[in-house]
Parts: sequence; structure tokens; C-alpha cells
Amino acid sequence: MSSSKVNIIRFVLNDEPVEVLVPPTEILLNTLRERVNVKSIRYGCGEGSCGACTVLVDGKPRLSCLTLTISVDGRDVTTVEGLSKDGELHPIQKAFIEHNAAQCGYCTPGFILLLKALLDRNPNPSRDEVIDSLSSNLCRCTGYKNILEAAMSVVRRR
Amino acid sequence: MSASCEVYAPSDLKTALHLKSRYRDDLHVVAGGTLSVRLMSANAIETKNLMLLERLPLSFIRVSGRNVQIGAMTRLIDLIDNRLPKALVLAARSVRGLSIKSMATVGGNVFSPSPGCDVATALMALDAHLTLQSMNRKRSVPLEKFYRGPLKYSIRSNELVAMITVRNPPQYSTFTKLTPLPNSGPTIASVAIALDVNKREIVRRASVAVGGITTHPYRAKYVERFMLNKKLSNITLDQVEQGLVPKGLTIIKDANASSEYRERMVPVLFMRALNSLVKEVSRR
Repeated sequence: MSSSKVNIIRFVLNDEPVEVLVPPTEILLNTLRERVNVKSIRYGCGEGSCGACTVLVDGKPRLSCLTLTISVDGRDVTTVEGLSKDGELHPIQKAFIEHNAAQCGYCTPGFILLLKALLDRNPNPSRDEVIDSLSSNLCRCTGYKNILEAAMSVVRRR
Repeated sequence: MSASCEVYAPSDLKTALHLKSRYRDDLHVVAGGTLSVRLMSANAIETKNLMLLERLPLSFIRVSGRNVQIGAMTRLIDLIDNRLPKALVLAARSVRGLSIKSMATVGGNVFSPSPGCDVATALMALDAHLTLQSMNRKRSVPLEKFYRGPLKYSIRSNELVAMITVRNPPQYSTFTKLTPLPNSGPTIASVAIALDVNKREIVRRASVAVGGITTHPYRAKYVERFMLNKKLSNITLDQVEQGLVPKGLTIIKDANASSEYRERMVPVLFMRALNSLVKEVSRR
């Protein structure tokens, strides 16, 4: 049988190999925060409604509160810490700073990662496509205008 | 959530079906996770065994002539594809945000209750059939007959949904929904229409599915029969309104809308959908 009972999970987190021993039903959000100590992943609603826990798995956006850790075995996981290279912030991160697109900052990593996933999929999205794509993420400070401006500034620079 | 359950992540369908046959209802199946993992996290289900489907080779879209085959593990984002019937594309597009679209699967959506069944609503209007597979048998079930009641499905405990097929879909189709958010969001009510018309715009085939107001989508059969042999642009709301929400349905309510509001929005959405089809037909 090619199926496997999985307990030891190995994945690549921001270009670094990670090995964790997890209960089979643990969600990725808890693994990253509690076992790997990545605190940029935020617990918001725990049911896929707010997007604060967004990560990229093999470059695609995943809500880590709805993702079992065992499902990322052998995959690449990216958090916002993985976007900067050699100390240089990613253009999306720079745009968020330039446009004051963070207020309390709780939702910011999720928005940045989701925007990266969108731009990797579609380098030149329309404003409506950006709004639609980001609509799964909530900003309880209601700072959407600046977030959208930051997003569109990245699109325009491409 | 049980921390001691057995977990399987098969990479081929044969193994997955063997496990389903062995564990039957004691095997909790996870496709995209947007519903199943949420239920597990909420302790809404207790499972001894878990099977992840995402390594199965069931993520595909095959278009052959006028027929479409969609693997059950195809993500909703992949349905935004111009080769597919427009109702299906619009339904997938209406799902809230890139994350959910990238995670949720077509196979999962047919099990998902309202408000998470937009794609199932479009598929129902397109007369989609599900391929249900077990170790020894493969059978095809119309999506319309898949629902036997709230959260009750025509699937045996040893079967998995392997594929969704749309055969010879009508030439025109559309999907429209109402949400509490300005763009994509949770469904308050939705309507999908698929139809064929002749050169004089007389309706030769029509199917109408209503979603979001009952646990699962349903077909508005009276309206479908009424539309037949009518000129599309002559159909008015007062002719069909009563048939859109048949008496006796249990209409859901939640934080987004009351059951009365949901019921009243269905005719509005039907006319929006119909008018968009009238315009599309007149442009051809």
C-alpha cells in the first residue's frame, strides 16, 4: 500500500528544511506558531473567514487554519519571513510601507502573501481582480484603501 | 479532534478506494479542507481514520467536443477557464477570495451545504453527472439526484466521487448570486440558468437551479417547463415567480440573511440572470 501513516513531517520552510513530529490532525497554523516559532502566522477566526493565517504552499495560497500539517509533507511552505532576500524587502513589502498599508499589522502578513500569490499567477491583474482576490482577507482596522493602493502600486511598477 | 487517528495520503485511486472499502464511514475524507478540516477543528466530527485526497491524480479538466470532464480534486480557481460553460466559470469566480478558490475542490463543493455550494448550483443547471467509484464498480449519478435531503447524499460508504461530467451543455448559461459583500462572498441566494434557443430565440431546452436558500441546490422544474417553447425575451417575472421557490421548502437563515429575504431575492436573481442571457442571445 502506498499510503502511509504520517507522524514525522518534513517540509521546506522559507528555503530551510524543517522536521516536526505532529499529531495527525494538527493544523499548520499551530505547527508553525507553536513548534517552529513562526509568529507572523496569525490566528484570526480559525475557520477560514479572515485570511490572517495565510501561507504559501508550493507558491499557492493556503489558509493554515484549514490545512493539516501532514498535508504539507514534502512541500515548500513560505511565510512572510521568506519573501525578503539578503536583507532586501520584497517589492510588495516595500509598497505596504510606502503606502502605510498596515495599521495594527495583524492582518498584514496574510495580505502580503496573498498578493504575492496573485501576482505570481497573474502579473498584471485589474483593480477588480485585486479586490476580488484579496476579499478572503479581513482588516479589522478597515485599512483596505491603503492596502489596495499598495497592491496597485506594485502592479503598476511591473 | 482526536490526536490518535490513523492518517492516509494515498497517491492512487485504487488505494484510496481500498481504504474506503475497508473503513467505510469510519474514514473521514479531506479534499480541499475548507469544510472538512473546519468540521474537525470545531470538533463537529469524531474520526478514527483520516484520508487526504490531494495526492490523487484527480485534478484535471478534459474538454472533448461539447463534453467536459472535471476531476473531483480540481480546485475552483482552475474552473476559471474559457473552455468551460459560462455558468461554471461565473460560479467559481464568485467564490470569496483567492485563498478559498485555491483550496476548495469541485468534488468537495458538491457535498458542501449552503452558503458554500455555488459551483454545485451551476453544475446542477448544466445537468452534471457525478462518477461514483468503488473498488468493483463505477456508476454515474445526476447531481440533481445526488441530494436526498439535508446533508444526505446518494453515495455508498465504499464510494468516492471521482469525476464530474457535463455532457453536451446548453449553448447559453449564466450564474448570478447575492452576497452581503460588494464582490465575491458568502451566498445569500443564487440562480443558474442554462438554455438553448433556436434562431427565433424560442427556448428549446432550459434548466434552472437555485442555490443558497436551501441546504443544497435544487432545480426549479416548473419554471423550466414554462420556459420551453417561449420566446426568451417575452418571459416575465410574474409568469415564473411562484415556481422559483416551491412551497414546502425549508429555507435556511443565518447571520447574513433571514429566510424571508432569501426567498424574495430568488426572483430578482432569476430576472438578472435571464436578462443577461437575453442580451447575450441578441448579440449573437
